[in-house]
Amino acid sequence: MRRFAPLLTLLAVFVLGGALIGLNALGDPGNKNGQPSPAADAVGATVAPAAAAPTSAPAPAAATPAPPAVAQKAYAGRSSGNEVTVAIAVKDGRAVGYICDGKHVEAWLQGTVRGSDLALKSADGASTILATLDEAKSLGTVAVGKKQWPFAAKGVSAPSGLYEGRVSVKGVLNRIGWIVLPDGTQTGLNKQGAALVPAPVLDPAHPESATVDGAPVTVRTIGGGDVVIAS
Amino acid sequence: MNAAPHPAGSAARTTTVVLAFGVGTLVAVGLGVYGRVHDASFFAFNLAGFSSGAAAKAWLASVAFLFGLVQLFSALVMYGRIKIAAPRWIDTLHRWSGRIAVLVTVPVAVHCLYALGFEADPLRGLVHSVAGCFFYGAFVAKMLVLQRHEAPGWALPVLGGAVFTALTVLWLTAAGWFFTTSGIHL
Repeated sequence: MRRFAPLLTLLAVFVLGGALIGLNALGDPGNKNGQPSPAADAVGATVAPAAAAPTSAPAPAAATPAPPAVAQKAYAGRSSGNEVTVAIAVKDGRAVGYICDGKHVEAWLQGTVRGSDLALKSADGASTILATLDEAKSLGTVAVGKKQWPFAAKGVSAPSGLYEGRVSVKGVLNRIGWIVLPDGTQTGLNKQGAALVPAPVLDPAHPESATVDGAPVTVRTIGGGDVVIAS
Repeated sequence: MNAAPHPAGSAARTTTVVLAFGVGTLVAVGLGVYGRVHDASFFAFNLAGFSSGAAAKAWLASVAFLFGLVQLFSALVMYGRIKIAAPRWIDTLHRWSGRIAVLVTVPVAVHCLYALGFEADPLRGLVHSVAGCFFYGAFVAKMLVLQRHEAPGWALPVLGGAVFTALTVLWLTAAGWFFTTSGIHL
């Protein structure tokens, strides 16, 4: 034992570090994306028809994944009673979304597009978007916790769309999401540590940066291929 | 520590130093590359009882630094730089305070690496990132030197000093900075 004490110490550090990295990776919601749970699919089958859905019937809960109807597009819009703003971006069958009311509700979602059906959910599974989409629009249901609303989102192009900024200020992580609608209005929130605070204004002419508490934030446009729930 | 080592011993010493410093360097660079390549996930477990992950890290790092001070003190006693009668348990104290110190740093470092990554900007981030990589590199080198009996006499104090210096820089650029900017609280 004593002969190898330094190596055992090294081993202990290595094992502890590896275990913690492993735990983080296991608990990391980002590593579970791209595969909506059966529960979410089941919800989709029952909820989607109730939504302000277009004429195309939702595909049956098919086991065979259909190719995505839209290769790459961003959508932005609101729920029917203007409760929340919704942004969606899709690319090659992958999709991300952001729900935000600008005050105290926000959620980042990830999921998939199968045929014209979109299914997104947040890391904790509490928020979902189930919708159908084509090149011009996405219509469906957005759910936050126990509330759900029908929503309509238009296909948009820059500077409308979904933006994200991340910065660490004074040791606190700030993660800001913005949705810029075609009419120029923007809805955003800043998750500052565990708190939600108003997002800084994003200049539509220069949406590549913003300022939080005096600190510059690099802002990126979120596309369907981006990872928004951890990495 | 002979004044005139015989050639075989000299070769063994060189091997030990090259091996230890080589592996240590690899560890340091490897950590830096991982921190740079791995996308910052901004995700990590939070410890219960702390206001934020940053507070938990700052306190864990402070515990590590306190044990680091014990390390420095016990090392100085063992090398006779502090003229007190060294108690028999001084080497046990040094070993175990060191083990605790380094194990306590691991959750902090994992959070840095996994959730934040290697930061080149601002300067505080850069210094902290480099010191973090250096710390584990120096630590690994020190453990390897300890493992080999053929190491030259200067290797342990140099590596121990490097580890302690890195820990101090790490604490100042993170925990010290955290406490001075957001106050001392749990």
